[in-house]
Amino acid sequence: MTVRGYIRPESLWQIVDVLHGQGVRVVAPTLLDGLCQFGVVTSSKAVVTDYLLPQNTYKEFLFPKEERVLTYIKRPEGGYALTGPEHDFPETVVLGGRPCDAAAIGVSLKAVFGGAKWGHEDPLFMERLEATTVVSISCDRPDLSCFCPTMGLGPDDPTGSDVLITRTEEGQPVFVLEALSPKGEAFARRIGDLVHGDRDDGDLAARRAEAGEAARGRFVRTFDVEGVKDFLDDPANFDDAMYARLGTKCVSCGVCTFECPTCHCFDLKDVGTATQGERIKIWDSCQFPAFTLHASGHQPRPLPWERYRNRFLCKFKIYQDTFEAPGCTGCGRCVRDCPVHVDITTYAMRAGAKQRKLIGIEA
Amino acid sequence: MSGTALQAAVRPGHLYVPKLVRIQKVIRETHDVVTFRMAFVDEADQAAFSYNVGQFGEFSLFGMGESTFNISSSPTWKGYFECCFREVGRVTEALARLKEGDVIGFRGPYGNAYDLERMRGRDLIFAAGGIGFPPIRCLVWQVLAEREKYGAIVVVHGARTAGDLIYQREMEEWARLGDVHVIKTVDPGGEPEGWDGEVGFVPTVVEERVPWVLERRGKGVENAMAFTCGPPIMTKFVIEALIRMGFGLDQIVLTLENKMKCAVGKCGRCNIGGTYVCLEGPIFTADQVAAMHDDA
Amino acid sequence: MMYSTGFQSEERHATLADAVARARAWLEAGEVGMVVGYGAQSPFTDLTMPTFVNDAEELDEELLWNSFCDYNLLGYAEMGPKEQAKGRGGAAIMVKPCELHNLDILLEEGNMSGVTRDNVRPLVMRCAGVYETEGLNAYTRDDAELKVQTKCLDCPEYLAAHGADRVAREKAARTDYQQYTGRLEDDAGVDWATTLNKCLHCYACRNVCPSCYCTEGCPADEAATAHVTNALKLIKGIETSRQVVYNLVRTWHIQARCSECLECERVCPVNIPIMALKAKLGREFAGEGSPGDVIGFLTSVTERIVREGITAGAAPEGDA
Repeated sequence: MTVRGYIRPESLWQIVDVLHGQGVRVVAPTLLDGLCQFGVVTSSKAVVTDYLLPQNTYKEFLFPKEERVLTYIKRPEGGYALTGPEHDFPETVVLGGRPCDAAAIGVSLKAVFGGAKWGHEDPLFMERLEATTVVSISCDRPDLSCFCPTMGLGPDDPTGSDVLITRTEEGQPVFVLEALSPKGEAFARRIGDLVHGDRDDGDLAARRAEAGEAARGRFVRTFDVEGVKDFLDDPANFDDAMYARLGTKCVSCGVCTFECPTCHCFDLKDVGTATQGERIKIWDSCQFPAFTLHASGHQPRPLPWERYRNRFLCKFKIYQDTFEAPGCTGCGRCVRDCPVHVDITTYAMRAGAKQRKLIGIEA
Repeated sequence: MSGTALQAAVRPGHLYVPKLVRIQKVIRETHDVVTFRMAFVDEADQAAFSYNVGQFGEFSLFGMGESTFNISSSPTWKGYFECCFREVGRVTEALARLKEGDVIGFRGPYGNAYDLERMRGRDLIFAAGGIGFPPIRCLVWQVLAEREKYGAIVVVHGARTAGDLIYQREMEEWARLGDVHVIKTVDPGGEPEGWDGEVGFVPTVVEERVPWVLERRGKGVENAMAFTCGPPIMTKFVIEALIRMGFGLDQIVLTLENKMKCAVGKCGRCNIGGTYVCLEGPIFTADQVAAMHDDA
Repeated sequence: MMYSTGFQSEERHATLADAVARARAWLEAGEVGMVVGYGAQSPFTDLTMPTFVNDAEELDEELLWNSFCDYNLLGYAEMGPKEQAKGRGGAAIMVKPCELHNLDILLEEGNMSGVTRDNVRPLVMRCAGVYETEGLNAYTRDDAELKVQTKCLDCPEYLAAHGADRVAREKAARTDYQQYTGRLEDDAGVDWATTLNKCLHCYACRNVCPSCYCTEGCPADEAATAHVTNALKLIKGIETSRQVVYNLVRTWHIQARCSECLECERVCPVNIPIMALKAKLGREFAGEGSPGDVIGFLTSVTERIVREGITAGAAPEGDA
């Protein structure tokens, strides 16, 4: 554990003002459209301090909802003048993200866009990630929809964060600060005076560990994922009746995919005329009917439950196989916000139970 | 004009930005199938361009979008490359109206390629239906460029009517080589007056004619490989015919198509179950396809 | 709330066991091939979900009935004609009394909906009110503040179950009820241009609505709304957005065919006050045109509404 010291509770969000004063762009939980969402803040007054998890993720600051990748102008003498995407990413600190988002964005999305396995690195994402310092705050009170421990993470897991801040529980609460990377160390130096105490203070480390343990004990939504991937690996299970049973009510609204920190699907569209315009990369969703609709009219996934089956397969199998990274970090947004309560954890529970029964682990 | 000047503002090799290519020749294969022969506007790009047989590219008509086509030329040809497409929708209909000298965009090459090593010394059966011919045609030309490395070659091409057959002059050229068996066929009812080819669906013709060719060489199917591309229903029946003839699933090679956009494994669109077609395909053996989830 | 004319007379099942017994009898006799009811969502919450049972043996295990049964299952009425087409009779559907009016509409429009008294058989449940379920996946079970849905406060059955005094007290205490009913009469406080432009085109409202059963030629789909939006701009010089057009077209289309079950408002991710819009259209634009050429009709209706009632507003800019 790389404890650097602690921050007093009343100073925590002053970090926003310090960073803003230094010309750093700060993304933090703030009120947008009446909802707590990650947004750019220029003052600590704009921060929502009493939150569990903002409705959106900060992936939209690294992988924008809409992004121009190309401008074209037809030249009168023939051919085109092409201009590529803008590469101007301000130095950014994401303050107040949670471990589930940090792991999903810093590891899983990085595996997709960084091209570690298959190449084709996307510099738009990677350069933004490079310019971003992720300062996460551990959760102490998970709600009914959170399930990160089941996915191998936890409310105080450092994966994907440059800095992790954990609120201690016993006695006078303080926010213990751990610097986890060179960017994290640089951040600690930036906020200098706000950090008190000694590096590697054993007592602080112990209190921080206790807080993490206590938070872990508060999860309600816990279940066994053993066997889920094996169930999904077998093509014979693709036709299991559970998919229609659990997914028929889906309305294909796409909210799950837009709020999901590991979802990365997009479309490339030309907007303009034959003589000038642009090509934009825009978020898309495998839940929309037109996503896989062929020009010939062939539709591989005509029904909403078939599309949700693809989502489940992606999060619990395909992501791991194709990108060698976790497809789901248990943030619970899709469970919490689905308008018709489609619940991916019920899929995982059924798939795991069936597989374990099949191989004789369970009755 | 210099291609470099046109694209100076673009970071070289940027993932989603195409390079400009100029159409050198437009060949009308049929009433709705067109071949473009093209080369990079920047000569240095053209000289440096290489690809493996069977790969595909994303072809841009700026203002309308990109289309995914197989690169239908053989990599052994220098100075240009080709694509061949049918007018099925908005973008392809607009592409089909382009003329020589027009400029479009190209991103590629993407995807996997045919395994030429595995094909060496083997008898090769090619069965192509309709617009499924281009991904087979490039392979035939590649093989013919090093003819001595391969065994018998049989090419079966069929379409609904004679007017829908493509690459007819090339098929005649292959037949004139003397050691390539070339069979053209039309669906029953599609034969015109004085038709000199076969009449029958591609799978039927394959099953009737191919065993004879192999027997004549005193060979069974163990040394053969079959390559097929065409409408899904045709492919299904071709594979069944090949199995009846004794082919193992790993001796049968096909191309899978699925809706594609980025072609680099990021937009999440082209997966069939756990397989991203743009990354692991589009060329697969029949046993690989049999192992996939029923998601297509 | 629009109540069925059969509201009082339709038989109720007092308990789940009653309903299951009826459903089992129908299944075993082959008179229905499927039962659409409420099942448990997961072990962690009290949320329910639509459940589709084909096997009589599974009825006891899969179905439940309690105050968390919020879905209007007549949204799945199409299961009836589908089962009938497969030679399996039809579907039995668990229905709350307030939803019977939807069944009336489906039967009246039977030639389009495909629904008949035989292929959709309601299992009408005695209901003492249904809770708001928004946010139930977030709170812990103990912390959740359960409150009954606003529509229940006006229901005669709820009144009969709980008494006039209690209902009056609840109505007085519930600001959300007052705001909802207030907005139905007077939408002055609603900035329609901004509100409607929040629409995500998720089609959740359309997909849960029992009256939106058209599988082909929906006048509010992508093509139709794009057509109307463009026509308004190019031909009439009216700038508006597809979000505005979609909401106007769909709400206008169900205007007289709605039971006010509030499912659309429940599922809308951006909380568009669809019932207030419906009330507004009925109040201010009643007697507008008559259907013939659907697209032409909708274009002229939307034109009038946009010009007079709802100011144009472009969709908000995206983030980052």
